[in-house]
Amino acid sequence: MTRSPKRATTLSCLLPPADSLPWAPPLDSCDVVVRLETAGITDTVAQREYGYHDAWGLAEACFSWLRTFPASDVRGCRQSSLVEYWKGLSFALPLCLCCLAMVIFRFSLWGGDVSPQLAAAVGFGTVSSFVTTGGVVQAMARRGLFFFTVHDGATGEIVCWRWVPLGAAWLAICGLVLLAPCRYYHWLPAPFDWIALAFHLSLGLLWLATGILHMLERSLWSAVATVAGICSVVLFHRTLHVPLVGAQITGIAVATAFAFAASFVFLRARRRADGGRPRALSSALDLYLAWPYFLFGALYFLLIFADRLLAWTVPDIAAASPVQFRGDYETVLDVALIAFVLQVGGVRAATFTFFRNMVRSQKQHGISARAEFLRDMKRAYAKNATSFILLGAAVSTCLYLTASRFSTVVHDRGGTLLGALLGGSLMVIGLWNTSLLFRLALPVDVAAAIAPAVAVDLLIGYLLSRLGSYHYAVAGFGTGAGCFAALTTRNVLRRLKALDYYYLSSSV
Amino acid sequence: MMPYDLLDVFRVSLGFLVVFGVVPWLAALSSPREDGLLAHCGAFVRASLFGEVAALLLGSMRLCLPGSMAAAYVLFLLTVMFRSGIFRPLRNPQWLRAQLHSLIVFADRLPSAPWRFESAGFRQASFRRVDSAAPASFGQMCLFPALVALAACFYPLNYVRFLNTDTYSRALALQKLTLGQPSALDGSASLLASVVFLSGCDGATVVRFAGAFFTALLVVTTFLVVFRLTASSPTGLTAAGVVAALAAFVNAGQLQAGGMSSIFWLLSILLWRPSRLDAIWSMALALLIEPIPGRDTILYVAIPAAIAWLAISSRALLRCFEAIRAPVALAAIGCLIVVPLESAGHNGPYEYETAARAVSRIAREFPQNTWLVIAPVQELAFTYGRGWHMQLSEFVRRYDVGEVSQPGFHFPFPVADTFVFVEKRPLVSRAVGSGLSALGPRFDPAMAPYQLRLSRVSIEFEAASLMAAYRSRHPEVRVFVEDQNLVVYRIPS
Repeated sequence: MTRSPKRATTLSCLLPPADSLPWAPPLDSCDVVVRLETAGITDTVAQREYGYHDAWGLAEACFSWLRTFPASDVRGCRQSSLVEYWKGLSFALPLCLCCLAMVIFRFSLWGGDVSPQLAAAVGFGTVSSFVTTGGVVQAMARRGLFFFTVHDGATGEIVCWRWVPLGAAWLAICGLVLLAPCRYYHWLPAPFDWIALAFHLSLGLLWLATGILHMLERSLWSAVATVAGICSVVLFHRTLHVPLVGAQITGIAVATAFAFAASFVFLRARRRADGGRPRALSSALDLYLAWPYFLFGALYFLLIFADRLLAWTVPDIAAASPVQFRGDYETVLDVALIAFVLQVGGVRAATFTFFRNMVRSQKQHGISARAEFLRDMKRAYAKNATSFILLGAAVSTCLYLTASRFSTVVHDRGGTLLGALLGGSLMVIGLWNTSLLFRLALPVDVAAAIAPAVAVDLLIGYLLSRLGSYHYAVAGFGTGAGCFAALTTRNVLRRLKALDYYYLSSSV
Repeated sequence: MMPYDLLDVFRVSLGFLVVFGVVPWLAALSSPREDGLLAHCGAFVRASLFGEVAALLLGSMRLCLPGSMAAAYVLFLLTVMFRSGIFRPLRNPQWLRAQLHSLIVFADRLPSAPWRFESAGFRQASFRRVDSAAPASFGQMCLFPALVALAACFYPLNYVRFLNTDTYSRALALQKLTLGQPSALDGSASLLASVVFLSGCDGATVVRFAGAFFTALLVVTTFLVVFRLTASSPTGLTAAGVVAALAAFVNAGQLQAGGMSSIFWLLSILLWRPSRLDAIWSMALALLIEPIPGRDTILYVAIPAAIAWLAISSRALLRCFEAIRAPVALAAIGCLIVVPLESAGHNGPYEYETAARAVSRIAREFPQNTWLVIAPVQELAFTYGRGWHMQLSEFVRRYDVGEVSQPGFHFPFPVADTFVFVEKRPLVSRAVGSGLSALGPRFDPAMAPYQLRLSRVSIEFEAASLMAAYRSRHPEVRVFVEDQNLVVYRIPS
C-alpha cells in the first residue's frame, strides 16, 4: 500500500489538473522536485509547512504516491473539446431564451412591438449598459478567476463583492453623465430619456450579476435568471396589465435579484470548499492588474455597438428625434449575431486545445529543442486560425443563403448582412487571439489592439454613414473588426517567437 | 422675456464661450509668444479661422455635423499641442511609468488621501494667463464689453423676430448647414456652426443671440486696437463706446456679416506688427465672412482708426477723450437698449412679433416633425429641421373656397397638426413697398409676394376666406393664438 505524504490535500499543484489537461506521473523524484519548485515549495516551505527536512525529502515522499494517479490520455481530452465548445456557447443561452420569448409572447426582457422612439430609448439604454459594465465585468472576472484558480475562494468572493458596488457606482455615474447631454441636446424627447436611463441601470446590474455566474461557469443559472425575468414580465404585462416598459424593468430587476442571489450562494459554496481566510487586498494592485482588462471590456462592446450608434444618429431632416431606431438595420445585425455566436463558441474550445497541445509539446521537447517547440506551436496556431476562417466562411455562407431566401428585409439588405457577417468572423479571430494573449498574461497587447480598432470603426462608420446611407455604418464595424483581428494576430505572432518564455512567466 | 428665452441665452453664451473663449485659450497655451494678450488674440484668430474653414469645407460635403466638427476641433487642438511639445513626455516610457506609479500610490492611499487636483498639468496650465497688467485698465476692458453684451441682448430677449432680412437668410443657412443639408455657403453663418452644436439650439436662436455677443467682441477688439495704437486707455474706451453706439444705430445691436468681418479686420491691424502671419490669417477670415467689404465694415474699421489718429495727433483731444469716456460708454449702452426697441416698434418690419412667438412656441411645444406651419417665408427660418413649412402664397394658390367648403374635404397634410397664420391686418412697415420698384435692393423673389402691399393684402384675404370656409364645416379647427393683428388656426388631423 502506498502512503501519501503529510498534508497531501494541500499539494494540489502536483495532482492531475481538474480541467482534463494532459498529465503524466513523475519520472523520478528529481521530476517531483522540479514540479515542487515551480509551485513555489522551496526547502524552507517543505520544512515549515510539511515537516520534511527539505524539498527532496518531500519529493521522495510524494513520488510513490503520485505514481498511483493515472495519466490523462489524449482521447479524453479530445472528447472534452466538444464539451468546451458547448460551454463556450452557453453564454448565449439567455439570449436564445429572450429570442424564444419574443417568438412566443412578442416581447422579451427588453424589446417587443413598441414605438420607434421607445425602441430607440431601449436600444440606447441597452448599448450604454453593455459598454459601461463591460470593463467592470472583465476586471472583476479576471481578478476573481485568479483567486479561484489558486483555490483561494475566500479572497475570490471578497474580490467579487468589492467590484459589484464599484460597478454599480460606475454605472450610475455613467448613466447620469449620459443623461445630461441627452436632456441638454434633446437626443431623446422626455420621458424616453428617463426610460433609457432605467434600462441602462437595470440591465447594467443584470450584466454584473450574470458576469459573476459566467465567471463561476454557472451559465445555466444565468439562463434560469433570464427565465425568471421573462416570467415576471409576462405576469406583470399580461395578467396585471402593467405597461410593457414598466413590466420589463420589473422583470429585469427580478432577474438581477435572482442572479445576485445565485452568485452569493455559489461564491459562498466555493469559499467553504476552498477553506482558508481572505487575504488583504490592495486597491493599487487591483488598479495595476485590472486596468487593461477594464479597458478591453469597455472598448470591446463599443466596437460591437459603435455601428449601431452611428446608424441611429444619422441626421434625418424628417425624423422625430435625433436618435432614430433603424429596424431593418437591427434585423440584419440580429441575423448576423447568430453566426457570431456559433463561431465564438469555438474560441473557448480552440484556446483549450491550444494550451493542451502546448503542455504536451513542452513535455515532448526538451529544453534543447526550443525551436521545434515554437515551430509546433506556430503550426498549431495556424491550424486553429485556418479552422476559424473556414468555420466563419461556412457558417456565414449558410446563414446568408438561408436568411436572404426566407426574409425579404434581409434579402433587400444583402450587402449589410455580408458586412456584418464578415465583421463577426473577424471579431471571432480577434477574440481567439485575445483569449491566447490573456492566457499568456499579456492584456496590454489586447488593449493596444482594440483601441485603434474602435477608432477605425468610428471613423469609417461615421464617414460612410454620413456620406451615404445609414446601412454603410456596418462597413465601420467590418473594418474595425478587421483591424482588431490584424493587430491581435500580429501581437500573437510576435509572442509565438518566444512562447516558452511567456508561458512560463504567465504561469508563475 | 420668458424663462426659456433666458435658458436659450445661457445655452448660446455657453457655446459662444467655448468656441470663442476656451478653444483659443487652449490654443494659446501652446503659443510661444511673450505677450500674453497678443498670444490670445493670435490664438483667437487661428481658432476662429479653423472653425470657419472646417465648417465651410465640411458643409460643402454636407458633413458639417456634430461628430465631424468635434473630431476636427480635437485634431486641431491635438496638432497645436503636439507642435508645442506638450506630448513630448509621452514618448518617454520612463515618464509614463512614473505617472502610472504615482497613480498607483494615489490609489493605495485613497481612503486617507485628500481630493486635490494639483497635478503637474494643471499647474503648468495655470501660469500662462492673460497678463492683467498689460492694458492699464483691464477691469474696464472686461466690464464694458460685458455690459455691452447684456445691453445688446435686451432686444433678442424681449423679441423673437429679426430686424434685418439678412438675419432671416443667415438663420436659415445656418440651420441647413448644421443639418447636413445643401445650402449656399455663407461665411458669416458657418462661423456659428460650432455654437449651434454646443448650445443645442437651432440656427435661428443662435443667430438671434450671437449678434449681441459679436457686438461685445467688436467692442473689445476696438478697445485693444486703439489702446495698442495710442497707449491710452481712455481713448480706447471712447472708441469702443462710439463703435457700440454705431452698432446700435446701424445694426440695432445685432451685428451682421459686416460687423463680424470688421472684428477680424481690426484684429489684423492689432496683430500686424507682432505676427504678420496671424494678421494675414485674420484678413483671410474677414474676407471669408464678407468677401466684399460693405458700408458697415468700412464704418466699423474707419471710426476706431480715425479716433486713434486724432488721439495721436493732438494732446488736447487725448485729454478730451479722458473726460468723455464714461459718458460715451454709458450713452452707448443706453443706445444699445433703446435704439433697437425704438427702431423696431412692436411689430415688423418683416413680420408680427405674435407670429414669430407663435411659431417659436409651436417648435418648442410640439413633437419634432409632427406639425406643419402655413405662413409667409420668414417663418421658415424658425421651422426648418424642426417641423414642416408651406408658403402661404402656395396654400392660397392650391386651394379655393369652393373646394374647402365641401363637407367631406380635409386638407391632405400627413402631419398631426397644421397651423395656418392669417394676418387680420396685413402688415404695414418700411419693408413692405407699394411696388417692385419701391423694394429696390431689398427685392427677393421668395419674399416679394409678402413685401408688396397689394400682394400681401390679397394673400392674407384669400387665406382668411379659405379658413373661414373650412372652419364652417370643421368645428375641430381651433384658434391657437389670436390678437388684434393676427390669428393662428390649429387644424388637428
